[in-house]
Amino acid sequence: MTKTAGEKEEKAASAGQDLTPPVEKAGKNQASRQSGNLQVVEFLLGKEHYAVDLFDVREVVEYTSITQLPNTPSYMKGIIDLRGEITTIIDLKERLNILEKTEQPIENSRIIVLDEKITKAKTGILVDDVLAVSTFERSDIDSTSASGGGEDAAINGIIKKKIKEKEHEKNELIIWIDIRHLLVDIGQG
Amino acid sequence: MSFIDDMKIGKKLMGGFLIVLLILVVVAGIGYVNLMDAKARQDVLYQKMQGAENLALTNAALEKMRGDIYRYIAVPADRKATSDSLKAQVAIINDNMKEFRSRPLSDADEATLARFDKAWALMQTEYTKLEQMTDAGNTAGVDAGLAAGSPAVTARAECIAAEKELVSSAFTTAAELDKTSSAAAASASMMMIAATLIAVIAGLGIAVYLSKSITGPIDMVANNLKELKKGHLSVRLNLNRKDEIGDMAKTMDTYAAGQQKWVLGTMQKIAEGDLSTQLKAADAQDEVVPALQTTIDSIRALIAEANMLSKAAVAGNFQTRGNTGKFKGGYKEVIQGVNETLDAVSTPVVAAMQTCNEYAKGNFTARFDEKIVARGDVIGFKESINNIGIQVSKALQTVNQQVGDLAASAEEANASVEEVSAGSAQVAKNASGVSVNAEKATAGVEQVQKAMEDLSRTIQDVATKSELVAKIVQDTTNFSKEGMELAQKTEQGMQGITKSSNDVNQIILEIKSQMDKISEIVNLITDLANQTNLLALNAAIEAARAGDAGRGFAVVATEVKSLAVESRTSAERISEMIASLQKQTLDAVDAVSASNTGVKEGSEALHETLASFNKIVSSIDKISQNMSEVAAAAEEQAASVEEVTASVNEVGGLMQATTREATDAAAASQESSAAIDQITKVVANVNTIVDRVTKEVSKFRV
Repeated sequence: MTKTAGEKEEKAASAGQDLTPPVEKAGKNQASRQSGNLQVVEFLLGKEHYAVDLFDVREVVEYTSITQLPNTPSYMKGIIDLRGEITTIIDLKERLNILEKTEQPIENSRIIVLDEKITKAKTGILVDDVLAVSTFERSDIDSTSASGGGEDAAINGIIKKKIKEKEHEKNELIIWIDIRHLLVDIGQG
Repeated sequence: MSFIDDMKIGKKLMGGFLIVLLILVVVAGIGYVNLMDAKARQDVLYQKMQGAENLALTNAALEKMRGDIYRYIAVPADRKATSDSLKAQVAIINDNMKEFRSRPLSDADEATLARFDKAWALMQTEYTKLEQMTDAGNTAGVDAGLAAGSPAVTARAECIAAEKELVSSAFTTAAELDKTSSAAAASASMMMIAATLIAVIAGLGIAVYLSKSITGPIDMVANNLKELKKGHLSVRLNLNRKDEIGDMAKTMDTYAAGQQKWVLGTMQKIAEGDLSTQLKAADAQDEVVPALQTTIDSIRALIAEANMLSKAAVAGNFQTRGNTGKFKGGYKEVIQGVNETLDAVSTPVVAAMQTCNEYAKGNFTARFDEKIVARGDVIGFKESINNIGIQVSKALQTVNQQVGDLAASAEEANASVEEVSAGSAQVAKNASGVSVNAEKATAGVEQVQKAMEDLSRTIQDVATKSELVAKIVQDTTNFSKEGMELAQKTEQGMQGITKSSNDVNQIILEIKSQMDKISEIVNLITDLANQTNLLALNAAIEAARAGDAGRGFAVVATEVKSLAVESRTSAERISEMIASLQKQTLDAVDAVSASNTGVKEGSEALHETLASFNKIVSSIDKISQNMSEVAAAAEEQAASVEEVTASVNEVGGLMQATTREATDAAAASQESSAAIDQITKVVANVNTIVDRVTKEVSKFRV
């Protein structure tokens, strides 16, 4: 796994090209998205790929300087001013106890701003990079294999993404996390 | 004050005490007179006081009469008693005034008293008249009599006034007396103090003077006695006074003078050898003079005996002895001693004469008679006599031995002379050998001269070669200068290279800055691609959320995203290429700087080359200089060789002189042979003399 971030993005880009037909498919299956297809936003935390439900996401913005708040949990990174609105920033790596440090500078990070429906206050999550918007079949998702982590893991399932690497088809594993569950915890905390 | 010294001590003391007593009486007299004076004043005061008492009583009586007369007039019942009272008062006044009159009074007092008497008489008359008028019942007369200005009242007033005056007079007198006595007391105490002081001073002066007059001379006498005790008979007191101390001093002086003149004088004469003095005893008890006379007689006899003995000795008569029976004690010992002295001297002298006789006969084995015991200086005398024999014997033996030695030496001398003779012959032989050797040396010198000529030639060669070297050196110098010029040209070429490579460096740096700018543009493109990517993502999200309506837009978004990714990839490739270009540029820079370093090193090497050429030139100069020195040295050598040749010639001359001298030496040694023959003859003579001396010496017995 010594690939550079550039190569990864290249692959992601090629994956995106591959995914163009499924997006079209997803468009066809728009009405039955609950039962059939899943639309997600893929992003990077350290070396692993994660995904959240597309309908929980409002937009993706670049990193801006974060104002730290005193006397808050360590994953509460702080607040930013997003077009006049105060937005709370959660460091998802801290929240999910990913201890791996990222090599890239924090200025290259992205903030995924979540939909206001799921949170009281406007909230964003800090991730290393946002890769793509993708649509998957339910059959590509394994919901049982990750249940060993229990409720706290907040993992909805593992998405198996088919990618081509040097003419060999291969599954890349994407961890589909339940962002609502995590933020409920925060709200309660 | 010599009269005090002449007084006897008793009188002197009595006189002193009397003076003290007199002073005491004077002091006491002054005190007594003052006391008497005070007593007289006291008496006067007493009288005055008594008088004052009388006057006071009189005054009281007068006042009583004044009252009584009114009582007489006013109280008829008591008239009898009152009349008696009046009479009693009159009696009191008369008594007191009588008493007052008997006291000493001044003239003023007498006058006042007369006034009082007159008034008193009038007052008595008037009072009697008043009584009578009262008895007769003449009230008017009484009133008139008692009215102010009536004779009775006037008289009474006069009486009282006079009496008061007297009292005041008495008190004035008393006050004056008091004043006088105070002054008298003060002066008296002053006098007493003065008198006492004078008495004390006078008493002390007398005491000091008297004690000095007595103890001073006594101390002198005591000191004189101490001096006499030490034998200082010439000390005199010479006190010119007639008291007991003067007598004592005079007796002492007389005694000292007598002792000094007679006893001491005689003893001094004896000491000086003058025995002519004849002394006469002062009286039968005189012990000093007879003792002295005996002493003189004994010494006279002793001297006579000693004279007799010494005259005999001077005459050569050693057998005369002194008569010891005539003397006693120490004098007898003296004569005995003289006798023993004569014995001790005469015996060794006789023995010495015998021994000397033997010596005179040639017998030096004779010795001092051993039976005679020698003492003190006689030991030396005896040994000297013996030593004459011993030493002469020894000397003769030594002479014998020396003569023997001389004979032996003469023979040795003979032998030595023969050896000298032989040596002289040898010298003659050696001298001829020297002559031969000197000739050989002359031949050697000639060879040296030849060698010197060779050396001279060699030096000439050196000079020639030196000139050749000088020419070669000049050529070398020219070549060095050419090399230097070439090196300078090369240096100029090097500087051109350095300049060109600096230009290259400049161009490369410019390329590098252009590259940096391209790099910035590429970064901008990458940034734009990223932004586009983000926008595409957001567009995709929006499209997805829009459902079917957004499906077409989602496709566009995906396309945009892929374009963004491609442009980013291209930008990254450019970036990599530029990076590699920059690396190569840096390499080029390094290469240029390396070539610069090389050029610099070449330049330095050229400098060193130039320096080396300079050194070569200077070295060649030095060589040239050294060659000149060598040439000069060669010339000097040539000169030296000539000098050496001259010296060798001189040596040749010396050698010839040596040959001559050797011939002379041979002649001289023949002459010395003749002298040695002479010496042999002298030695033979010595032998003859020795034989004779030996014969003479053998005549002595040693």
